[in-house]
Amino acid sequence: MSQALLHVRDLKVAVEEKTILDGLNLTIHPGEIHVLMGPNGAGKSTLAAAIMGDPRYTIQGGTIEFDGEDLTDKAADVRARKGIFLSFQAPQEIPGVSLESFLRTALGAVQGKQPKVMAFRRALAEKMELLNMDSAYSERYLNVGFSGGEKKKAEILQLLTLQPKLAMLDETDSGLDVDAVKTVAAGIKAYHNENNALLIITHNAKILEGLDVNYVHVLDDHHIAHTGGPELIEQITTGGFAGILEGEDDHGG
Amino acid sequence: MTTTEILNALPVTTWNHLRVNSAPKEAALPERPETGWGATNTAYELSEGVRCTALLPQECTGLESGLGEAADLSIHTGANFSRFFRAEGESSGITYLRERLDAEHPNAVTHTAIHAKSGSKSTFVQLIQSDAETAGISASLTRIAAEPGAEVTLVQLQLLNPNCKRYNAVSVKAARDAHVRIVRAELGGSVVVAGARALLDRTGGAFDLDAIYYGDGDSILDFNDVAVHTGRDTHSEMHHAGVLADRCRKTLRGTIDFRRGAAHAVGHESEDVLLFSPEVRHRAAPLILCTEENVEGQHAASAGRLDENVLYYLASRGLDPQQAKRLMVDARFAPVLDKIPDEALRDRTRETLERRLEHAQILG
Repeated sequence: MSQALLHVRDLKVAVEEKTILDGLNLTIHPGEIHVLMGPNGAGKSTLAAAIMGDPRYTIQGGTIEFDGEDLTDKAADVRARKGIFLSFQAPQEIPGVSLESFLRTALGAVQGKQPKVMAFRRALAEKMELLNMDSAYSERYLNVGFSGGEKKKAEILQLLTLQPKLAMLDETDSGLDVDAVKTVAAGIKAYHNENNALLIITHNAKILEGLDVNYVHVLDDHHIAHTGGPELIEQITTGGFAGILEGEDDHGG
Repeated sequence: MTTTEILNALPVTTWNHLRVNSAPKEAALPERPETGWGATNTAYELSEGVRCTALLPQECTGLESGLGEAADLSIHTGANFSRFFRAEGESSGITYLRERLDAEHPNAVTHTAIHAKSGSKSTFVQLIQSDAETAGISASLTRIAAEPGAEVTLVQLQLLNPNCKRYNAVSVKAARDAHVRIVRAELGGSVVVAGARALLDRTGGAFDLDAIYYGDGDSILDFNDVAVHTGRDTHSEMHHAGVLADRCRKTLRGTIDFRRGAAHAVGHESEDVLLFSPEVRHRAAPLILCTEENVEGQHAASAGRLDENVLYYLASRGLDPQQAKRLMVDARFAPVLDKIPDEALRDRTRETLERRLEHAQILG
């Protein structure tokens, strides 16, 4: 098997001195798609935030290794430039910065040089078409006045533009109508290839349609309590978490 | 011209200890020297549809600016440069009014009037700049009278060095369905006193003010913008955004005054300030006065340091703290800078601003 892209070892995370994750292990290789499920409040978003480097969360123990480098103490911007991406549940609104200008600035930041304007615009237009986004949105201020669905599409547009090595999608499908879920799923599919990986947090199997999921993890009691294959999605969707979690111990991915 | 101490008076006074009733004494309009203000380095370029008139148009008289009558009179009578314009027909061009303060021309006290004829469309850009050192004075009184259906845009770009003092008095009168837009960027000077006052006394008259400001060091910034609605269906939008650093002291008074007869009038005002130092003194006095029942008035304000959640979001997209800060400062100014109709001027304004932000160690 290829070298791990992400290697989380014995992770302990707290927010405002309350421990959310403890003894969590997770390994993701290039080309893999991992799905993270679990009861509300189990700490799924916390895990994604801790991997991204959200300063509100304190890493009290363990390590986060990415692409062979220990990033446990690195700031979020360093992690993003290394190739980690998080699609937020509630993306920030930034008046005064157009979507296009923001994407160009972000791409310049992760690539280390500003992209050429015309080529960037052409590529952006193609991606917006794939996501059924009106091209006028590129001139609008980032997420200002966007509907919930448009905000999520704008997150996937960022994913497609920045082409990170690891994309974490935190309930990107929540609040989307059926058509929008399909569009977002198409965007995720367009992004994924053998060199990158996905960690998808979801309660909804719809967004996973058309994706070859490798592992499904169930987060409970501060750590990954169960790991299985894609068949777990159906089991959880129909039977809930109770049967799966009974008598389980820690598993890595 | 004698020293005028009461500037930018709040239309309805409040407790003195709040220190918002008028501009501080240190910001008083200086007395004209006995030898006069001397020569000015000023110029203008007319666009099609705009011509100069020898006399102050009658329509522009009797209008009061935000600075107040005393200041208006003082600038009017002491002006060392006056120019009066009349706009007719629709013009897509720009009329430029330029002044530059330097060692030989340290003071520009200017009186400008714009009379926009019925149905006309015109754009004026006032560019106020200086050399790097001269401690000069720029005091300007600009009077705009827009006849029915006329549209006037006045863009004021002030890029003075940090030793200069700046006084910017604007008065506006919009007739039936006339629309006057002011874009104001006050980005330099140790003392900046600016006040626009619009009288909307005819049905459908509209006034927009989009203003940005920047202050650092020990500078004093004082603003007093007023929209007086007496006509039906009148509309005002006054929006301010600024960045303050060091020990800068800033006061903004924004008043929407709905008077009897202004049925269905709408007025919105807002301020969004980014503070880069705990020593900044930031005061705001938004006022909505109302003697007419059927109106809509709204004000919104936000002041503070950069939002940690926004900084994290930007970081998650690869922007380092300096890049994120720069983007957020740009975001405050962009909506107004984007309204500058001349691309070269827009770029120059951005560059000037960037240099100042770097100098104040906000960026870079």
